[in-house]
Amino acid sequence: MTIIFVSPKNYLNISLLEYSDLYNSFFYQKWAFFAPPPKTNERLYYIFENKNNIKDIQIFEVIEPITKAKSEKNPFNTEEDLLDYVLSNSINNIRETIVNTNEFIIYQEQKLDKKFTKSEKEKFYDNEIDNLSRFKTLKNYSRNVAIKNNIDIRKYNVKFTISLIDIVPFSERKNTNYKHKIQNLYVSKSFNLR
Amino acid sequence: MEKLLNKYSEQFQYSYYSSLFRVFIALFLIKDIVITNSLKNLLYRGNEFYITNESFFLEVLSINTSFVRNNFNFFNVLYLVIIILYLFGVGKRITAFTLYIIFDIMQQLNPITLNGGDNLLKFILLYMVFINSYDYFSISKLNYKNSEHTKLSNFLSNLGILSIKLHLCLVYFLAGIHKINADVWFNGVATYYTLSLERFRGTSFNIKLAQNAFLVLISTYMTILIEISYPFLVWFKATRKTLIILAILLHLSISILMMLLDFQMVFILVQGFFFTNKEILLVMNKIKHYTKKLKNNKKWIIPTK
Repeated sequence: MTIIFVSPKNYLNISLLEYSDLYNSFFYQKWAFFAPPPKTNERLYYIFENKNNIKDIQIFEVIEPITKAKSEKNPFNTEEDLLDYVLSNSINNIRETIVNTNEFIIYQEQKLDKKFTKSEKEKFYDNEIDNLSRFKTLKNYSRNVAIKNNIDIRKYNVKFTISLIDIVPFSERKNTNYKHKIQNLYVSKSFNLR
Repeated sequence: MEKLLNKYSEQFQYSYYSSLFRVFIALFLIKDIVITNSLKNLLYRGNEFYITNESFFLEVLSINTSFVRNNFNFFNVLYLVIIILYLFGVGKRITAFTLYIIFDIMQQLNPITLNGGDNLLKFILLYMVFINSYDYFSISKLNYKNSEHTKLSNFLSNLGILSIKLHLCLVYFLAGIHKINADVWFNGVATYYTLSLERFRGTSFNIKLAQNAFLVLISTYMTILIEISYPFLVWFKATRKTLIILAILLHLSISILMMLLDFQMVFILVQGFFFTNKEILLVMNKIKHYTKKLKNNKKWIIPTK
């Protein structure tokens, strides 16, 4: 059983897909271990916009300070380590959902022989992402960011952006002028914290 | 087949390390409770920003997940008590089974911070239910008046040990074949990327190490080589020690360079299940002989039954 359900996707475990959920509910396991390793570092920006003054925008990035503190305090870094896990795994969950939704959209377009408009596609993404508990986790975290930075939540709306910064490719590792590619993976809608 | 059954029923040859492992794991779990105590509201009770999910296991048992979350302090104390009982070998297999259930519930209450070590540990705890790990470091041994019961206990224990070994081999094998299938591992540059990840920058040397192309090549291919060869060669006496030493070195380097201490600790500790009582105690006696700490030539007794 274990061998069947934890093996890479193959004919046997795909044909038993309906049972894999039940198996994974009790004995979930994943042993890919950095195969492949991520080629990007993540950034999570919280953007606070003053409701009454469009020029008053405050931006805070939360991942880099946590990973820095995690490294500096190692091995006594439990708090930073767990916080990093919560935020990064939430980001990864959104990332996976975007990939899966994208595949679903492509599949639907082929099936229905039509092209979805940008707003139709956005609806698909919103429907999937807005209901994720991990999305709600990141949304809720904005309150912590606001408190930490003395932001008056009554006066501001907030949105968050997930960005991926590529690691210098191995072939470019000696190139000191290498310009990192930054990809905005996800931008949330603006929301009120009150 | 009968010969194999007899062999498995006659004697349990791994009682020393099983007992030692029970103690290690109990202390390991107590440490986890202590260090995550200040974060329990965030991780387990769902009182802070982290949105928690329902535990499938609890729902199957018709227990409302929010009931456990609301009474988490009580549940946590219960968990601690069970671990302490397990540490001292009280309640034997019943305690081991209860611990497995509670450990699984704890994992489902907070799945977001789990890593591969936690995943493996869950299965090891399940196998430990069947293993007699109470011959050493326990308030009492498992004693059966009926010899058939002793045989059954030995059989289950040996089967449990075999399951742990096979599971570990399966983990390495799957990790290995996944790696071969990934371009950066196949092309010998994967550790460049793992060492460059900010989240796992365990030392200030990581970037320098990543810049060394030769080191990157060797460490990438050695990782694959160990993971692929381990499941096959660890079963032979001639290659077992080499493979285990290589695996321990691999896990040690990951724990230091990538700050995955707990994760790797579990994998390192599991390696001990490949050594019988005789092998472990012979080594221990040699160590004692060399350190001359043992008075009156008192030695560990190697069990024969």
